[in-house]
Amino acid sequence: MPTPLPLVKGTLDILILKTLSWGPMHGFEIVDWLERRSDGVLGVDDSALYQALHRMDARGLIAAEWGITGNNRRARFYRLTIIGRQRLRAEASTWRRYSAAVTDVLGATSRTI
Amino acid sequence: MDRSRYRRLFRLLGGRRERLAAEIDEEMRLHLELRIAQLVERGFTPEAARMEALRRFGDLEQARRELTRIERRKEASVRVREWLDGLLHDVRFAARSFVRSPGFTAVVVVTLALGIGANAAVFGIVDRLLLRGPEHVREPDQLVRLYLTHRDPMGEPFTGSWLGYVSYLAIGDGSRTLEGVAAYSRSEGTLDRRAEAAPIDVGHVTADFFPLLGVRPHLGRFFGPDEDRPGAAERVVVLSHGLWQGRFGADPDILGRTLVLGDETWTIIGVAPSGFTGVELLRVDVWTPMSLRGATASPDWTTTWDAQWLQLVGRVRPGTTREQVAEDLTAVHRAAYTDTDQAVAEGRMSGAPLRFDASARETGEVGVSRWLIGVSAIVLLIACANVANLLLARIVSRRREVAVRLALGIGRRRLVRLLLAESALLAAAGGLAGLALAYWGGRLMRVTLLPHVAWSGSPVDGRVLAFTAIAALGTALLIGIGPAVQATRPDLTGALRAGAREGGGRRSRLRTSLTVAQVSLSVVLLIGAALFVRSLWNVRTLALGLEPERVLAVSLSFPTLAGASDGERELERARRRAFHDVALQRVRALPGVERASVAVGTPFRMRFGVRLRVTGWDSIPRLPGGGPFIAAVTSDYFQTVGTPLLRGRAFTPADHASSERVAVVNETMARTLWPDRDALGQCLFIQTADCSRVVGVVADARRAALREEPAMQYFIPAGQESGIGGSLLLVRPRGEPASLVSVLRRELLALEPSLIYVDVWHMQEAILEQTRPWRLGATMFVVFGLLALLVAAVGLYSVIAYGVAQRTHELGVRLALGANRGDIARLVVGHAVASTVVGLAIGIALALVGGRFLVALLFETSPRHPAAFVGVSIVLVLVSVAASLLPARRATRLDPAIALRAE
Repeated sequence: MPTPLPLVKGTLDILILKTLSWGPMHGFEIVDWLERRSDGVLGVDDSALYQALHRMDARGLIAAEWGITGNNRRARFYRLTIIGRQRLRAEASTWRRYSAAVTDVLGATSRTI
Repeated sequence: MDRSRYRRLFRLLGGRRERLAAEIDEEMRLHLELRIAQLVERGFTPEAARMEALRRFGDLEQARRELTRIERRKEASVRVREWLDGLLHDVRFAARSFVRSPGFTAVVVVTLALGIGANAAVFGIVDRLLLRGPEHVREPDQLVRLYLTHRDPMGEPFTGSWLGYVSYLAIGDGSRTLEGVAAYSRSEGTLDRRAEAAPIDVGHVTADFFPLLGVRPHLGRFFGPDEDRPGAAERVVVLSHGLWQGRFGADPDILGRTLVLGDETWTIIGVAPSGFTGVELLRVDVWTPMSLRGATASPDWTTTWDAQWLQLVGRVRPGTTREQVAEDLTAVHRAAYTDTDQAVAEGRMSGAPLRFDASARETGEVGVSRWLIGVSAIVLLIACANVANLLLARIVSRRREVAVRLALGIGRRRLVRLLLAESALLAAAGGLAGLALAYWGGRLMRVTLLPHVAWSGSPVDGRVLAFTAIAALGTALLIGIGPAVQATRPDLTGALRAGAREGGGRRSRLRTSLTVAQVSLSVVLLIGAALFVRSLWNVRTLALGLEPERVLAVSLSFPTLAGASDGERELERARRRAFHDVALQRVRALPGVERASVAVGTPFRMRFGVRLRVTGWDSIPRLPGGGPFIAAVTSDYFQTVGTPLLRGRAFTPADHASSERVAVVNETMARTLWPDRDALGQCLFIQTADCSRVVGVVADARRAALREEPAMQYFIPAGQESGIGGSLLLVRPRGEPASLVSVLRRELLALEPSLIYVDVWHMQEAILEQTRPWRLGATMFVVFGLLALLVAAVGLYSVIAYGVAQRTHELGVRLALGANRGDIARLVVGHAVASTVVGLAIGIALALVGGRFLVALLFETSPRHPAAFVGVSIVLVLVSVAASLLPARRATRLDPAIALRAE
C-alpha cells in the first residue's frame, strides 16, 4: 500500500461533492470510496473529512439525514443538494483547467533546463 | 411565574444540546467501528486495528469540539430563520384577528396612542427645556451662568446673576478654571421709526460670546473685538434667522445694508443660524455689540461696581469641578473688588447650569416639566394597565382556541410569541397614532403654555421619534407580559374540559388588581390636578392691591440726546416732561379712556428708592421686601391702577410741583413707621429738610412679583420729585384694553413729531408671565388627569362588563333560585365600587406621600388640601358607579332560562 499523499488545500470539498454525486453515503463510505478510487494515493484525514461534511451541510451544499446501513446500523447519510451539484460542476471545471495549466507549465519547465 | 416553568424551559434547551452531542458521538463511533472492521479484514489484530483506526482519525476530541460548534451554529441559524418566519406568520395572523374585531382594536389603539402621544409630546418639550439646552451651542453642559452671592441688607444671603462689566474683565483676566467668559444682556428695542416701528428683542453681547458658545453664522460674520471695544465700538448688527426671513424676506444680499434700531442706523454684518437664541431660550431678534449698550447705561460702565445689569456665561475647563470654579471665581472677585460695599467685598461667586434663572433657581417651567415627565408616564402606565386588562379578557375568552392550539401540539413558546406579536402590533399602531397626537399636542403646548420660548423645528424630530419607538417597545412588553404569563399556565389545558365558564378565581384577581392600579394612579393625577387648579385659583384671586388686567402702560421713546450741550439737554428734558402733561390731557379726552395718570415709578416696570428721613427714627427700618420705594404720580393714579384708598385723601389736580409738599403712604409703611399713631399728618423728609405731610394711606400693592414680601411704599405728587425720572403714562380703558392699544399709539404719534416709538403694553402681561408655571401645571395635570380618569373608567367598565358576561351562568342560577334583581345589580355595582375604593385608598396614600414634593410648585395651597381629596374621591366613586350601571342593567335583564343554557 503506497504512502498516501496529503491533500492539496481546498480539494477535499470537491472530492466529497464528486463522491456524493454517485449517491447518498455515510462518512465511512465516503472515505472508503475516495481511498479505493485513488488507489490509496489520496490520504483523507478522517477528522478533517467529518468537519468538512458538517460544514458543507451547514452551508447547504449537502444534506444530512439519519438512515439505516446495509448492516442494519443507524448512520448519518449525506447526499448532494441542488446547490451542491451546481457547485461541483463549477469547481470541477475550474479544477480541470487549473490542473491542466499547472501540468502544462511544469512540462514547459523541463524542456528549457 | 413559578419556578417549574423556568425549569421546563432549561430542560428543553439542555435536551437539545445533549441530543446534538450524542449524534456526533454516534457518527464517529460508527466510523471507527467500520474502519476497525475493514482493517481486521486486511489482517490487523483487533487491538492493532483499533490503534490504527484512532491514528487515522486524528485528534478525536478536537474533531468532536469542532463538529459540535458547527452543528450548534447551524441549529441556531435555522432556529432564527424559523422564528422569523413564524413571527411574520403570527403578525399576519394577529393583524387579521384585529381586523375582525375593529371595536376592540380601536379602543386599544386609541388608549395606547393617548398614552404614548402624551409622553412623546412631553418629551419634545422637556428635551428642549431640560436635556438639550439652547440650540447651536457646542457642549452646553460645559457652560455655566455665573452668580454672585452676598448678604443683603437684612443679612440674608442673596444670589443673583446680575453683574458688572468689571467682573467680566476681572474673570476674563484672572480665572484659571474657565476657558473663557462672555457677557450678555437683553433689552427691548424698536426697529424702524414711528408708524412702521415694531418692538424687537435685542441681545447685547461681547464679541467673545459667539466663539465661546461655538456657534457659526448662517450668513456673513459675527462682530469681532475691534467692533466691541468700549468707547470705539461700531454700529454693526447680526440679525436672527427669524427676523432675516420675516422682515427681510431671506434676502441673500442683506450684508452691508442698514437698518434703524431706536433712532440710529446700524450696518448688518451677519445672520445667526436658525433657532439660535444665545444661552437662554428666549427670543432674540438682533445681536449688537455690548459696548454700545454699555455707553447708554453710564459713562463709567467699564469701571464702576455700581452698574450690575449684565450676565456672564463661562466655559468650564474639562475636568474642573463646580467647587473649583466657585473657589477660583470667588478669589478673582475678591481680589478685583475695589468699591466700598462690605457685603459685596465678602461675596462668593459660583457657576450653575444654563437652565437656572437669574436668581440661581431652576425656572418654574423646568420644575413643572420635571413633573410632566412623571405625570405623562403615569398616563402611559394606566393606558398599559387598561390594554393589558382588555388583552387578558380576550385571552380568557379565547381559552378554548388556545387550548385547542396547545392540544394540537403548538408549543407554549410559539403561543407566547403569537401573543407578543399581537401586543407588538398594537403598540406599534398606538405609537404611530401617538406620533400624530404628539405633533398636534406638542404644537399646542408650545403655543399656549410656553409661548415665550423661541421654539424652532417640528415638535416631532428625530429624538422624539426615537423616544416614541422606545416607549412603544416598552408598551408592547408591558401589555404583552400579562397575557403571555396567563397563556403559559400549565392548567390551561383544563379549559378544554371546563369551558370558559370558570373564568373567576385567580385570573380575575390579576385583572382586578390592574383595575385597582389604574384607579389609584388616576387618583394621584386628579389630586395633583385639583391642587394645581386650587393654586391657580389662589393666584387669580390674589389681592394684588392693583388691577393689572385693567391697566395699559404707555412709554414714549424720544431720540437720545447724544451730542447736545448740557443746556440744550436740560431744555429738551423739560420740554419732554411737559409733553407728558399734554399727552395726559389728550389721552383723558379719548372716548375709550376711563382714567389716566402719569407716573415715575410703576409696578412691574420701575421702582426707585431715595434718601428718606422720618422723625423718631434714626434710620428707616429695613423690611424683607426692600424699600421704601417712592413713586411720583399725578392725580387719578390710584383710581387708574385700582389701588384702594384706605384713609385720608388721594392726590388731586391741586397737588403739583409748587403746591404744598404732601405724600401718600401704603399700609405697611403707616404701620411700620407709626405703629401706635395715625400716619395722617406725619412728616416725611424726602431727600430734603422740607416736610412732606402724609395726607393719605393706600392698600399695599404688588411691586414686581406675585410672591413678594411686604415693603414700604410712598407716593408724592408728580413734579415734587427730584433725582428720579422716566415717566410712564398709565391708562384705564373703559372697554377691552386690546382695542385701545393702536388708538393710543396713533394719537400720541400724531401729537409729537419727534417721538420715535410709542410702546403700549398691558400690565396683565407681567402677571401672566409670572402665573405661567401654575397655568402650565394646572393645564397639564387637568388634561392628563381627565385622560387618566377616562381611561380608568373605560377599564373599569370593561372589567365589570366582562365579569358579568363571564358570570352569566352563575347569575342565571341565582336568578333561577329566586334572587332579587336589585341584589344582582348591587352585586355588580358593589364589585366596581369595591375596586374603586381600594384604588382610592392606595391613590390617596400615594398622593399624601408625593404631595410633599409638590409644595414648591403650589401657590398658597396645602398639598393636603381636604377639598381636593374629598372631591376626587366623590368623582371617582361616581365614575365607578356610572361605569358599572350598564353591565348591572344587563345582569338584571338576564333571562334565567337562556343564561343557564349558555355554554
